[in-house]
Amino acid sequence: MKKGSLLSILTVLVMLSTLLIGCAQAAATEAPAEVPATEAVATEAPATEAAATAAEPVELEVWSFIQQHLDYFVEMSAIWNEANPDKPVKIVPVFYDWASLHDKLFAAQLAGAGVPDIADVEMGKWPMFMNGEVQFLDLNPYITEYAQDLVTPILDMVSKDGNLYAAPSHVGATVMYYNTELLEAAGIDYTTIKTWDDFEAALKTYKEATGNYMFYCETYGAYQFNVLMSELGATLIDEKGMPTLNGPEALKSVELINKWVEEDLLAFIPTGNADTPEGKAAVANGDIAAVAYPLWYMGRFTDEMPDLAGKIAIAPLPVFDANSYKSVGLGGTGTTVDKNSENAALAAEFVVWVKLSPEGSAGLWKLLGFDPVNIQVANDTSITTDPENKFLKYFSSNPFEVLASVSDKMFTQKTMQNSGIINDYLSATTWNRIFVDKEDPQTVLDETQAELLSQSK
Amino acid sequence: MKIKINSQKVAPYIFVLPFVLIFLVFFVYSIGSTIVMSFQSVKIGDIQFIGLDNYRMLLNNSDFPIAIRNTLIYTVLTLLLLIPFPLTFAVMLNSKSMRASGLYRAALFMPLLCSVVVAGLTFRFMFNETNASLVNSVIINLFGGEKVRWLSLQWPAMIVMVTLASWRWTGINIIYFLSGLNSIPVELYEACEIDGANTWQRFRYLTIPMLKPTIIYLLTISIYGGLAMFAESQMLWAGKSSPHNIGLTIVGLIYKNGISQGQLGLASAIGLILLVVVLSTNLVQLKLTGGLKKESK
Amino acid sequence: MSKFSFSRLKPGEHRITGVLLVLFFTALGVIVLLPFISIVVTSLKDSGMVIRNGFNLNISAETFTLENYKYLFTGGDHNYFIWFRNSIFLTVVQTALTLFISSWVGYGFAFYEFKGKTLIFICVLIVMMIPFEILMLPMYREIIAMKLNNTYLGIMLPFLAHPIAIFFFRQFLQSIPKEIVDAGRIDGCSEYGIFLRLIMPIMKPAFAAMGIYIGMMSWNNFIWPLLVLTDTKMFTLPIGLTSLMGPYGNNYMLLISGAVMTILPIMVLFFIAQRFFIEGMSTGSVKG
Repeated sequence: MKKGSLLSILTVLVMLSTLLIGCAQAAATEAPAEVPATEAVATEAPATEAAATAAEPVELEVWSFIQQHLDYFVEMSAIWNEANPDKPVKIVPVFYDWASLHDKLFAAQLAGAGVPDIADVEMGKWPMFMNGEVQFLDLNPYITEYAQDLVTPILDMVSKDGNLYAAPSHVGATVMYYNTELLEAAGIDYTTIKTWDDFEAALKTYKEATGNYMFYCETYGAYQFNVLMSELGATLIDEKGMPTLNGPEALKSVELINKWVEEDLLAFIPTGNADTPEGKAAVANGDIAAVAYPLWYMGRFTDEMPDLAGKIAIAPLPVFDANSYKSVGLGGTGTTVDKNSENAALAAEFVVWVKLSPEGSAGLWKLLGFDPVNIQVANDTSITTDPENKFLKYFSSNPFEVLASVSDKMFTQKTMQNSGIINDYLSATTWNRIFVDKEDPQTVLDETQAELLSQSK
Repeated sequence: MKIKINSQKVAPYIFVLPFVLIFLVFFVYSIGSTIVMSFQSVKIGDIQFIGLDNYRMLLNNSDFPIAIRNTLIYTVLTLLLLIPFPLTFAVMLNSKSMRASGLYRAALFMPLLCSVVVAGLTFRFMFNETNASLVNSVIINLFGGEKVRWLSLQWPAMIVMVTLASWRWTGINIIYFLSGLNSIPVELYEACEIDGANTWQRFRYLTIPMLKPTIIYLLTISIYGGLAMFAESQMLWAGKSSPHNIGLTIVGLIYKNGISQGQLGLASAIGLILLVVVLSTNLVQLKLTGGLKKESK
Repeated sequence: MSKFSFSRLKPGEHRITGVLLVLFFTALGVIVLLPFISIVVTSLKDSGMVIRNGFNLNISAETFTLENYKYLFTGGDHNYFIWFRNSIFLTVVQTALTLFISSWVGYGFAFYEFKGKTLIFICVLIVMMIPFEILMLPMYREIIAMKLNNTYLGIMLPFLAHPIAIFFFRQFLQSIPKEIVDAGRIDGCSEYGIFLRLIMPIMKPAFAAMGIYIGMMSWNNFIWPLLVLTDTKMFTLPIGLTSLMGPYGNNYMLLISGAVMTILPIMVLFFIAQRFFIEGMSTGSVKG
């Protein structure tokens, strides 16, 4: 029996190996025959296209790491096809997780093959695509129709040398989210918090009343640092993309947080960030009662913390003084078009329409709670006060009012080739040395600056 | 059937031919272009020769020594744990006194069936930094200690990584030892017994020497596995950098620079240095243990 | 059976040793299985709790739910079963081919002396020890040039002569007496016949050990298939599963039940095939 079974395994192995050899040979002999075939298709193509303009939709492959985004593209393509019977599209959606999508897109661009027509790129990964010769199409020629209605600082984030390389999904204006139930229990009215001094007083009141922490120290990521730097009007990188991390504004920002850490007013939450599963759990549990995040964080509340409905208020960020900038657009996703795509022009037209036209921008808001890049949307009261909208229903204050109150003084942080390295170093090293190991802030910032200068190019 | 191809001169080349072909087709080009890239600044559509700049940049990179430190500690710890223990377990499992040995073998092999992705996820949540997570609740309830911030501090994080590695690899190493143990002819043991050797003597002078090929194999792949560790730490910190880079390994640095930050030239340089280190460590090891010598029998 | 007695024990001593061994391995087994138990328990809980508290073994009637599995099998338009079938196919074919080809090569290294042997063997070591992360992109370029992207052949081909397997088989074969080969030659076997008919049968323990290793490697392979495959319908389970895990794939329900569902089928398969592996590994090689 032993011999028999072994023999059968062997036979299968041998068969498989001959199969493989067979395959390889077949492929090898087929290859030359294939070339004329594809040529034939290529020469035929224009003829068929001309004959069947209205009928044949053009396939556009779209990569995203947000499933709803893909659904949205498919849904909008039906509306597009009705309005544009002469140039219909067929969306081929492909979903990858965040890391895989960017890794794969990068590899495909380097290899020069396998790049999709349209791809979402997250701002944290944006810098790696800005090195060298950018492979995205300049969308400037396609936005002229809407240009006067678009929030320009957010377009700057995805521009380089005057070329617009992506259609952003939202402004990403940063605001403060307060858990009003917890704050009221501690006797705090969030609407009275206007400045960081007020905020500090609230931190103390909250700690005394409840023994818990109202806010947290971000040790992974740089949103809090970005917020404070932006309010002070300082960028993290200069015009050439080099780090500027040890100026007076950086010190002032770090020292504000450090003071609260030393007075034991801030929580240290697992992973040190409020946008990881563990961090969001801390928010959902009420371990902290306030987070500072852009408006896209609304979706985290509505989707993952349904229990807190009606208890969360959105408010403008506290400021240093009357001269401070009031908000900053952070994070987000840009939809890009491959410049080598056969259908680049059509893809660009479609992307711009889906994301930046008044209809498109409104659709993104309704579906994903993205604060619209097209300001027409904010002027449409049927949208901004829609009683059925899930975001307007969830939050106890209206995000459009908050947005309107800060939009006159928005700051722009640039995302350029070195911001990935900077973000990573701050997260891994700088914050831990200052806030956890209690090292001297100025010294650490100076060393951070020196280290990052040597790593930057 | 009996043509030239069957001569003992030709046969070995036919046997190694599949490897040689694959090596020539896939690896010569890849390794070659890695070497070239290590002297280049590689950007999409813009490649420039920059000499030794990548290597120079590496020397100034403060993450590099941290990655080396973590990787070396990890490698030494895994070597200390993952060879002696599986060997002992395999001998125990193989002993005649052992009952239901198959069941226990199956249990110990189980972690092997788990991908790094799932294993990393499971460990990340088992070692979660809350009081209620599995490991912390055991510590608090049994020993009355405080919760440990496992993934934020250097040594606790190292413990988690090494525990994860031991959990995953003990089973397969037992398998290797078992397959080695079972290829030792029984007659040799019988002969030993007749000569009056005791248990320890038989283990020391028969089992160990007979297992030498297996031990050499495990040493070689463990040195490589330790020095090239990446996936485990990637999963434990969910693909982000760890505080103070406590989970950063050399390959982690390659991935961070090459893929996440698009510095392919730098990543190639790190990779080649790693190759040279691993290869030379192993060649020395193989020389010392006789693993490179020709077949002695 | 070739089980040898490690020590010459009297029946009574045998039993005591046996009990001690069983106790020891039971304890070890429980510790080893703990992560599995915790992930299974967790998959039966309300997902919100999990993220808040991490994994633990507490479960009560209140927190018990099958929602996660219901969602995995019915909700959403993900292709769980297609990915699963693809993974099985790829794993079986890749493992069978790799074992055959690598043992073929390993035999060449173990039983022959020839010019260039050390050089070629060092090439094996180089392939084994160079971090794949840096070879990935150039190799991807080659796969595209050979028009093998989006094929399973493209995933398998570079690794069919797997350096770890070659090295392992070489080491294993070194402990096999050369007399077998000489006897085969005297009997008139061809050089290849010796390998196929005399050597392969006694390599069972080695095939069992490497089969598990290669099989798991292929089943869990992630980054290379991710690069090579472009068609969603051809994706494997790890690619599909990982897509549920990213910072934006905030679907913990799917994530954890999906994780259990990658392990469970393999566990079942393993328990069914266990006998084969265990027997394979404990068959004395020399007796054949």
